[in-house]
Amino acid sequence: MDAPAQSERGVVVLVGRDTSRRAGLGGLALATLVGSLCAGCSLDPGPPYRARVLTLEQFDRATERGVVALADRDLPHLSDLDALRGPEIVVYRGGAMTVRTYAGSVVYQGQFDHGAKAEPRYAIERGVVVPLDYPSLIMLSVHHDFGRILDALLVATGVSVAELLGAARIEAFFEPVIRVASETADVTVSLRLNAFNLLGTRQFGLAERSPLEQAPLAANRAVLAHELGHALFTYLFAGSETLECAALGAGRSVGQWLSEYTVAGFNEGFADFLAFTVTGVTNVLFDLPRIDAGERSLTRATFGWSGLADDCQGGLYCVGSLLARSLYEALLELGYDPDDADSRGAFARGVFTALAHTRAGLARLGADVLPPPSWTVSACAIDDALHPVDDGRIAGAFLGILAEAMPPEQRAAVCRAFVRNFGEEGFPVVARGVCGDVP
Amino acid sequence: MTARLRVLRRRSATLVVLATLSVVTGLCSWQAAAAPLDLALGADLGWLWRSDYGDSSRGYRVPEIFIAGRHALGHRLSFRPAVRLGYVGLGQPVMPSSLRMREDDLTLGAEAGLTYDAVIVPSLVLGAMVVSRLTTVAVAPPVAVTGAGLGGFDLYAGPYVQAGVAAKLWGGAVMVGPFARFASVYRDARAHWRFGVEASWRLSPAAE
Repeated sequence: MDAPAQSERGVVVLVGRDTSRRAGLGGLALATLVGSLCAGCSLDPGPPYRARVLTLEQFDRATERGVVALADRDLPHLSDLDALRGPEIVVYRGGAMTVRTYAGSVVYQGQFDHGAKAEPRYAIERGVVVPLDYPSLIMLSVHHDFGRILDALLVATGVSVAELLGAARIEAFFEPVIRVASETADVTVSLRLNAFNLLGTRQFGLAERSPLEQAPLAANRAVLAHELGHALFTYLFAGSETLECAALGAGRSVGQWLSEYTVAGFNEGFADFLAFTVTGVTNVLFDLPRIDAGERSLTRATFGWSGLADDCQGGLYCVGSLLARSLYEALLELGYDPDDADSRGAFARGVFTALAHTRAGLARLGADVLPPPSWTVSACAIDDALHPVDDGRIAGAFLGILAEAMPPEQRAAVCRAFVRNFGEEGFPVVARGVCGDVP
Repeated sequence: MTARLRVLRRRSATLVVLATLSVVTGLCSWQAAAAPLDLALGADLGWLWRSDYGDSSRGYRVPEIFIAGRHALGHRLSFRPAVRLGYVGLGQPVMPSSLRMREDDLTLGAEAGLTYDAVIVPSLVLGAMVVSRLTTVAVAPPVAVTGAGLGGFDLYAGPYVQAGVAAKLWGGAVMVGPFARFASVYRDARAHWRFGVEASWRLSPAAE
């Protein structure tokens, strides 16, 4: 990335940033005209590309503060700069996201349409792609951060990029128009402060920016990792089965299982845990100090299952936080280093391997262990609130199967954390299985 | 390759527009030089539609001032050259609290147009403009700049076409009416349309 030849420079830079201080008015005007007309003549600086992006660089667990750097970084997963497209990741500008049902940051029924080619506006400075406006900065940053997450995926989860993506790409829609369509309303909304994963796909929506964010949420790698965590959860939990909602029968279809309040909450929890494993961030809401009440923190939150109704306001996120916090506590108890990516991965690979066994384990359980699905779940919709007894039985069954599938050397610590955080109501004795003998 | 050809074709078309505009302006100016121009001072307030959020557009208030001439060509037609100076930056898109990117544009346009003098005066204008943009970026923790940062001074240029109608007040001393403008700025395809209202005050007596 040494100093380039003059012909390599973008036109805007040629006339606006580098030459203008030396050129007279006439020269400036001439350069403007020539430069504007020859905008496409500048040489493409890649691939591989290097760009000025926003990216999470540091996170201090003690204070739960991060540093989001505006810095020059390589984008090895980018092959087409104008389309922000590579073999594994593509970023679209806008588009329309239709939401029929959603819970947490997962769209259970909906679709994405009409994403436009990204076409970031940029100049080239010394071979570096320098974005010229906010959308271009964020879209480049999203591509970069998803790339870094994919680079870390195998070590963090034991799942390769090829396994997770298959023939698909990660498709990120930057600030789509969001249409909420249901039987009772059909409205277009400006939804902020969130990102979404469309269930069963590798499609992600990045909601409009908000002044309540400090650094842009869409350029927060922990948030993007959380969203990819939903795709990973669905991939591991559902396996090769389709997500269609089966008719009410003896068991539950995958679509119905994913609609259980507790399982939807665990989906959020695994997503937070993946964000921690990939980035080291123990609170994905660290960038939202005016909103964050500490409920999602793996280090600060203290509520248990019995306090879900009174001590936590985040609905099914709270169920997820209990799970993520339990896994984090087990990691610490076993002596893994939370500040080291390899160490985090060594523990987390056991967790995600175990997750892949939960769906089959749940399918083996009978009506004596599990409550029948509610009518809401039967229709693959999510209940509005926790039903402590029935949801506790489902949570317990899930946790018991997960613990049993964990590597033996990790199992006892995980069991203790589950018992401590979920208690008798969220992890009933009858469901504890291998955890029943753990002191 | 196809995309590159499309870009080149678009640029060629724009070059033709600019060349045609220059020739027409030159010819009209040459003819107008033989007779005095009626001068008018004007101002307008428009709403520029720019796609700063995904691919959806929102309107930003844009004020302008201009000086226009008028030279009768006969058959109620008049040649109307003008220069205009505008500012884009009164409204800025929403930003996160620790990363505020602000764009302030000064636009200078030169145009040539035709008007038809009736009870309502329609006009059609072709012009070219230069945009001088200052982009400033302010950051606060947790955002930190570790390299060269962003922002700076950039120049852009492009043609525009404007259509409008105006009502004559006080015997034509004041003209007020709405307009619509389509602009194409090179390397910035976020904003094309502007809608607004302009008013002008005649500075010299009409040469009827």
